[in-house]
Amino acid sequence: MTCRNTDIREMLAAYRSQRLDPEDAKRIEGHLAECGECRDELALLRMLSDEAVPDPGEAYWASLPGLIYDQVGKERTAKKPAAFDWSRLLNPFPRWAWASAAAAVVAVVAWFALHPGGGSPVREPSESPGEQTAIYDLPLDDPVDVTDMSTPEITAVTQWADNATAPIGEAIDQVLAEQSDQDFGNELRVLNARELNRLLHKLSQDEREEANGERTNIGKLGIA
Amino acid sequence: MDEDLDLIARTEAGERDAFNELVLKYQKPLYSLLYRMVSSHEDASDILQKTFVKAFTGLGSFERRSTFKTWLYQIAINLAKNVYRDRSRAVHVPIDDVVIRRNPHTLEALIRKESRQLLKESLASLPEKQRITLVLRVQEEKKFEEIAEIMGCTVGTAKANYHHAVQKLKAVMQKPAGKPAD
Repeated sequence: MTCRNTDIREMLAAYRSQRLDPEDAKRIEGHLAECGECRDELALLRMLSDEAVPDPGEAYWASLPGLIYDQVGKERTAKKPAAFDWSRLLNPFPRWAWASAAAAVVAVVAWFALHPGGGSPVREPSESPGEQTAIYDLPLDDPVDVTDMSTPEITAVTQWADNATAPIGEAIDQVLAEQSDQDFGNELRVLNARELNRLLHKLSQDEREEANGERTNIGKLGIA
Repeated sequence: MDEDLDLIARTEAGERDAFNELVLKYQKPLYSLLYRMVSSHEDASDILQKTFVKAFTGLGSFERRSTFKTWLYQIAINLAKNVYRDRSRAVHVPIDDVVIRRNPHTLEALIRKESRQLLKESLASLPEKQRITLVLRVQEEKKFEEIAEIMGCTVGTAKANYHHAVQKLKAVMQKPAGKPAD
């Protein structure tokens, strides 16, 4: 049967290590004289506490603080932030930022190329501060009627349109020029004599028409 | 523990002597606790070193709500728990098997050498919290209030863990051979 005197049982460990005051120690001894359960428990506690812990030796204890100190130093060094990379000052943006910016520029140019009349001319500032304010004050959702515009406003809008479309026009001219300089040798090699003759005939015809003042589209002279 | 706080402040200021003093003060009691928990010099020594390293690299997180000693014990016990869990995953010795292998029939026989091994195995088979509580109470001679602080539980829970541990060990040591513990 288990002893239910928890006060005594909780003090058994302290009794074993002689940490009780004389009065409590006497109470425990009185209880132990009557309770076999608590005597068994005390024997168990003695056995547990008697389990020896081997001493690693003075050399071990003496070397331990140094080992720990070195390890702490290593871990603190490992946790320190890396040295400042000065090259980042010269190139503050990562590669992906440059790539994104380039893609955005291409997208904007392509949009203007596909929508030459797009954009809002009223957003472009004019040369004159007074006119600039007037143009910026126009509401975006209110379409502008050219007949309502004053001469300086029309001049400002025209100037904006010229400025905005000039780079696009240059880009298109450049592409066409590059195409005209393209070497079609590979494509011509796959044609037989009859097809070459037809092509030469077509080219001669186009040259004649151009000479007669008709506009021809050089792009349509393709092999296809 | 003003002395410890002073040593900690000096350690944080980079004074190596203060650091050494703290290690020298606590290395033996901590080793003793750890050895009793893991029963191996290699593991106890390894955990002891890790305990101090963790404590000193994390001194900034020591909030002074408990004593430095209690904080060290908490770190050591948590590290030892990891080792113990890894081990119990590798080798599981159910408490019933320990009982079956026992030889003595009476508590008087506990004095015998082979019983010590049986007790050691039985102790290792106890649930983690009960085992640690028993070690702290009996072998480290801690008060229940200290145990509760170290284990992060109430005094009542610490006492309950202690009583359950003692009851289980007594049951193992008193049962006749071949009978499993209740």
